[in-house]
Amino acid sequence: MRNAPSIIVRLGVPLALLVVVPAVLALLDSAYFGRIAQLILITVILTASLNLLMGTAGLLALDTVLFYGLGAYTAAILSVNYGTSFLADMAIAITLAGLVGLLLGFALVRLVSIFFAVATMALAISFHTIALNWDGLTRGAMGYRGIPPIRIAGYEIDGWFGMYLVTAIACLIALFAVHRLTHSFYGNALRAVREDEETARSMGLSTRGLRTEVYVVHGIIIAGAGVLYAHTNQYVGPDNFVLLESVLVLTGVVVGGIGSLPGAVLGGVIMVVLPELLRDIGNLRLLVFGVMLFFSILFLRRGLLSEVWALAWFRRAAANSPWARRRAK
Amino acid sequence: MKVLRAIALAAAALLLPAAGSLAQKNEVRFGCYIPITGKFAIFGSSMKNGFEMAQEDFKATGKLKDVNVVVQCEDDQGRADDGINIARRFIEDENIVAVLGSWSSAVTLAAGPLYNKARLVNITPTSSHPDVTKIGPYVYRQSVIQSREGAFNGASMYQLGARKIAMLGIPNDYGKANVGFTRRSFEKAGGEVVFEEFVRPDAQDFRQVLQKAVRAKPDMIYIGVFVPQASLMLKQLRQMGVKTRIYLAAVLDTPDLVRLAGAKAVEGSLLTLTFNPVLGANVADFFKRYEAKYGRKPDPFAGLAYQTMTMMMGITARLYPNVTREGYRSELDKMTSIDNVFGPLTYDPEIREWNYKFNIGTIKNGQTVLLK
Amino acid sequence: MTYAVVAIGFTLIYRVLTAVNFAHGEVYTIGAFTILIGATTLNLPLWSIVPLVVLAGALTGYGIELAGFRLFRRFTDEASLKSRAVREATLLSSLALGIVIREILDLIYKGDWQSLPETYQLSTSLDLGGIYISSGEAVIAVVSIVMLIALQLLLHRTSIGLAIRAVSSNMIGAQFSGININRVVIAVFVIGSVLGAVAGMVVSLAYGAIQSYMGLTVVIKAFVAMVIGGLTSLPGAAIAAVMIGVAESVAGIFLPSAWTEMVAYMLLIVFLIFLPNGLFGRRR
Repeated sequence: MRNAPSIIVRLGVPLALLVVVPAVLALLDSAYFGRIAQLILITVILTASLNLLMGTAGLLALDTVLFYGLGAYTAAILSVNYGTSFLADMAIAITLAGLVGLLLGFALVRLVSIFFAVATMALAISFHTIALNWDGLTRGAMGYRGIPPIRIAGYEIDGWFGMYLVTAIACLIALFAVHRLTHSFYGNALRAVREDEETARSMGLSTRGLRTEVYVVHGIIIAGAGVLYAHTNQYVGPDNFVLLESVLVLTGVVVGGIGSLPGAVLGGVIMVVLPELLRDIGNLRLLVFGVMLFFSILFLRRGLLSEVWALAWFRRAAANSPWARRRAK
Repeated sequence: MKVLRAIALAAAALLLPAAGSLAQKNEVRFGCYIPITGKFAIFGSSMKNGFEMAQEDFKATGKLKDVNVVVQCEDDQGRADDGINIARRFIEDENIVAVLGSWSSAVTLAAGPLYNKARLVNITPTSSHPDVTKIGPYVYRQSVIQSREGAFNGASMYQLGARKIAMLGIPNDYGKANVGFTRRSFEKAGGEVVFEEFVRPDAQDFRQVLQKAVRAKPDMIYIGVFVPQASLMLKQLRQMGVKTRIYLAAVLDTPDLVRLAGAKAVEGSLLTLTFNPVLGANVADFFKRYEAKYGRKPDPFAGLAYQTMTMMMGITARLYPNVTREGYRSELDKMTSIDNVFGPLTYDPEIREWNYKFNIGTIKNGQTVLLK
Repeated sequence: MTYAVVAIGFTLIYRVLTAVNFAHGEVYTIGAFTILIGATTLNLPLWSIVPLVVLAGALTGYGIELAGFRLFRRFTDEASLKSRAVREATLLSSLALGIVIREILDLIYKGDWQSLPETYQLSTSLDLGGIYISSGEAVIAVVSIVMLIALQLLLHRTSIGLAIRAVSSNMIGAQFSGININRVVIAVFVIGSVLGAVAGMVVSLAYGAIQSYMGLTVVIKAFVAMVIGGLTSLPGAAIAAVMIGVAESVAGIFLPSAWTEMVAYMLLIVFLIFLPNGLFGRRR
């Protein structure tokens, strides 16, 4: 069982997302559960990506909704007005997010801790104001309805099952990217910058360069999630891109365990499942959510799956991987 | 991993009963999605009261005596996203025969297409955006439609002698449509709009925008915002000593306006009436009973919810015991008239809208009176 | 001006603990609701409600400190008091507390807007050479200035003020010189929250509209003002807050008012790009 972590990472996660969950969903045959599964995966992309920025690189950011909204609105505007396909939307949204991320990254990454957090908070609120008031582009409060479903190579994926599979594949790609960035020398460099900027710089790391890079990458991944959201939800409106949503994603990361990728995934799952479970209690919903958030911070100081645990686990996974063993021979 | 497994098990245990809730005999279940928490919770609670009262009143007539009619209300917080998630649940729940909601047009417009595709009737008591009933044959509406109210507002202001007006709205689905249609009809009548602005709903100080409006020298100011903002605007206009006549949208015909703004600030304002005790014995009686039951006066949303639920109860009584989803659609299409808290109304099957009657009223000493 | 008073309470807490208190907006809301309850349920005259508001603010501040912050300060060495983990934990715990307070008020009042009786409202119009302001706004301005001066006096002329300043400049040093840190932190929360509650009170006196969500925008603006002012500088935060207020109303002349929401945030971004340490921030 020594290489259990390796097996779980390499086979378990893809198997779970592409075989086990779809099988369960097919058994349940419920569009509602299908939709919840999609939302979970999209949220997991958000938390994983934010965790890369906030956990690994130590930049507390609240502008998740900016990139998320950028992706979603790009997809909505292009596909409704110009009939572009899913992949084209994805490519354009990612390019756009990359450019915006680069611009903002240059301006903002030199800010330290709380300054950065507030600057990104300001961006998030400003984005909502623009989405709500620039009627000509965003259709204001009405938002975009009738966004076409996902279409790849002329083949339309309309049912929830197909949509789930596309979302799952996208989620796997995103998780793989974040995983490689987090659990590698690159991740170690980011953690070094996070822990002690001066020391990192004296070791020859470009702190600003690294931070800008990771900010851009996080923006691109989140914008991708936004495109997925637009095409699976088929509706995009300004309500989805308020500061509170950023805070919820952040909460997911914190509850899961700051800096820990498995934690971020778990946090993302909780952030979707919990509000749905609480739907039945009506107007006590937010209250219960607040109380649960409070106690989870109080009693799970390092999150459900802490960074130290996650890193140790992934290190074992790496040590037992076929490549490592081949090298040992 | 133990933690993980425990959470997964707990989640499964909680989710599954929600999916396959047991069907009960003699039960007719309506779905309902309205804002129960969040900034619009007050409107959702009015609607809930309206539904509840309609059920009780209908039961009192002796019909559907041993049928348990349930309205299962879910919270959409006024957010389209939640509306969509709820829709997917309702559509799959075989026990749900028809769906009521939502309060806001934006939510209905987002969730409506799902209901239409699933052939499940969605009737909204309050969403007034013109596009709502254009979604498809399974989406119905009970409320006033914006384009009609706008046409009446514009014409009334012109008829009351206004030639140049300033317009204030809020930048959401309701405000944009309301101001837009009112403007169109006023301009069609020959008037001129000298100022138009959409204000921030969360602001407290509107003096700056009001000053801008006054500086444009209108002979009437049109206010098409919700009660909290309107009450502040009216108070601040009075503080500024502005004497220009004021015309209020139909949504402001609610006792809350005088409660929040005070009688002095609203004195002499003109407004469009649809739901007011002065309009008939039906409404006056509803106001009295509602206030006795809930300790507050009803707003138009409560009235619309009441009227919708009464109609749905009537249809249920006609269908019973063969209550099917499709049944509601055919029965709704057969509707021609209704005489409820909004007075006698006729249905226009062509455009699938109800013909509401509008009246001009004015506020004297905190009381609304009909303008002759 | 109200932003200034709220921002100062917010900044005071930040300065001592390097922690963001997101529940600060709810203190403002509680100030407003206290006067509402005093005026409508209890029918008290205005002068007797003011001490109630102060009391409510103080108690709320104390409660927030106990539940949202004290619980997270396990160790007393500087590293853990100002560590990232504690900062992030308290940020979220105060956010959670804020949600809880807001939702409780929401449940009691069913999310409805409330209005102060007209007799309590300060809404006489004053004509200052063509610019109309209401008496309520004059009161806001006067009360804000008085409170700012009182706070400065408190910080510089009293022993608890000295202790506060000592703790905020060097927590460990202050501890070694025999200052009870917990007492100082409580004092800071109480003072900051009283400021917040009084701000909520005067604003509701001036405008008369009260709702459970009213503190949300204000606390964000206070946050922005604190950052523009340089994080730890009280006068900086006050000046920045006034600047935001002025900028918003000047922008209102040229821009549709729905867009003025963005003014404060754009101002912040511009400031952070050109003055990354804020107006009066210490170079780090």
